[in-house]
Amino acid sequence: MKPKFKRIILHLFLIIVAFFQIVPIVIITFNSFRTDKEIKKFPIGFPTQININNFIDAWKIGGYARAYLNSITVSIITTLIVLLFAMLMGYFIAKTKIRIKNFLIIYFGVAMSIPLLSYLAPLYYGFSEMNLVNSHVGLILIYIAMNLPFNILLARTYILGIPNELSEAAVIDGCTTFQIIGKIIFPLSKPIATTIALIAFVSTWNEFTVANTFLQDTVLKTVSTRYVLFVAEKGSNLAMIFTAGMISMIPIVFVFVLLQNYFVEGMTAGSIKS
Amino acid sequence: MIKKSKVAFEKRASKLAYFIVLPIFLYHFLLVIVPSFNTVYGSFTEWSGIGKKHFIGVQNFVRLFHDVEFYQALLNNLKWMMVFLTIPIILGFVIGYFLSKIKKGQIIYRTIYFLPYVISAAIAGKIFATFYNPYFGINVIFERLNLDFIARDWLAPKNALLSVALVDNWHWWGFVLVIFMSGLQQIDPALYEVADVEGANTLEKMRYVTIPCIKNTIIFIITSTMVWSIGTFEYVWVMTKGGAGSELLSTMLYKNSLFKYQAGYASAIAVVQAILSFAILGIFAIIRRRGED
Repeated sequence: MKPKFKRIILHLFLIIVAFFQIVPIVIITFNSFRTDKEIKKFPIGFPTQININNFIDAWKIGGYARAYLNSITVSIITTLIVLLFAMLMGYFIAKTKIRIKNFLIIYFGVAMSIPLLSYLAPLYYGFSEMNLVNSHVGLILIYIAMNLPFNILLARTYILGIPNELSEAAVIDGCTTFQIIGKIIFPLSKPIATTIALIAFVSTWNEFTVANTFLQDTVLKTVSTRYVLFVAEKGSNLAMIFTAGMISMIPIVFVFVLLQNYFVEGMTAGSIKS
Repeated sequence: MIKKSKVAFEKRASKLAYFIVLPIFLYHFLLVIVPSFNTVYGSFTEWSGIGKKHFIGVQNFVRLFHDVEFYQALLNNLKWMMVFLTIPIILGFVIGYFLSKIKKGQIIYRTIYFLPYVISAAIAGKIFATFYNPYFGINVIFERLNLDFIARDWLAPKNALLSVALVDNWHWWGFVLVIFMSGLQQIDPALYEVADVEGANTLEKMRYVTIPCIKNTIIFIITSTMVWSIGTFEYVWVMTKGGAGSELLSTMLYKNSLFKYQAGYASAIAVVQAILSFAILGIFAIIRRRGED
């Protein structure tokens, strides 16, 4: 009886903490179906009706069609390039005998702890001279650089663990380096590739500071920056704040819940190793 | 024959490696390291951001060390650090420890605790600012529950910094949790069995098995927390823009470099931040090395 009682207390405690984590998200969800009047009367409550008018309004007023397109374009291009670069770098650092190998490991380790704001202003003024401000190309260039160090080290650690026998056999069969990468290393690295793609995608979709600095033109804004603008302009309508917030975070929440193991394991492995 | 082809292959692969590795390295170097050095140089100049830099020696630093705002910001960063060295670490460790004891539902709990981590600071910040609204937010709930003494102007001076820190903590501690969980999972169960045989109680097991085994994880989390606290930016910027007494080094830097045309002065703030961060990293590297001897 006693251990069982202990277990119940333990779960009760875990549930209370979980409640505090989840309740803001539940409130956002409920309030996105409530009207401004209802929310102003009392900030929490069940929706009295399920209609998607809020969503249609927020989508239109917030210019979300364009913002989504922007975010999807920027996130996908960034993700693909980061994935390619990280896997190639990971392979060459892990499996070849280049001399600058140790230097690169330390370099990317240190690069990870350089805060964004210590290079943001020179980058901004440099980019504005090259007409890369207010441009998705400029944004993507920065996002790739920001995502590389962590993901390169992540890829390297994983590829290091792939046994050499397979690629050695392939060498004897006369495979080229690229054939080895394409036919042996990449297929065996699918889990880490998924992780890298997920981390790059989520961090790009959510990124605020760079996007907010480099994109001033409303039509170019990504979802998160467009949302901040939306709140500044339509902030008096609370229903809209919650609905637009919901629209902005749905894709990431969805992707995370589906693929969370890849994400969590990657975050922990990448953080601790370096 | 076999050996020959392997050696030839390795030579070819190494050559190819440089063709791939160097451009990617240079790309990163150009976009991150070069501008960082630019900031270091900029800290010794008068520079609006646009146009030429005029070398003025250490004047920016002299000005910074006489700036009341700077000390206010630094103090706020230290307060922030105190919050994040306690709440998320205690929460992450305790919950991580409990979660490692249960099997059923572990993943569900972890998902819920970690979920806020993947929500953008821009969205979470604005939504919580709505909750903090003095007229339509959580105050109304507290008043209804006759808990008026809790209700306050959450984002007013005095309260703002802590209110924002609580939101960032909501988002952050799930990450600390999963780091602790992965550390705890690597502890050899045999060690606990030995402790059981020797009649250790729960606290003794914690003291002699759990904590020593995850020492590196703890050092990692403390180091990261301290470094991140020096550079923290997004939540405060989204929720208060550094106003209402919540100015941080980063918000001061951001305003000076991009709105006040004081990029030179802002660079000096960035340099001070970098020195603080590297000092923290250095101290912990030494502690770690000592621990290994």
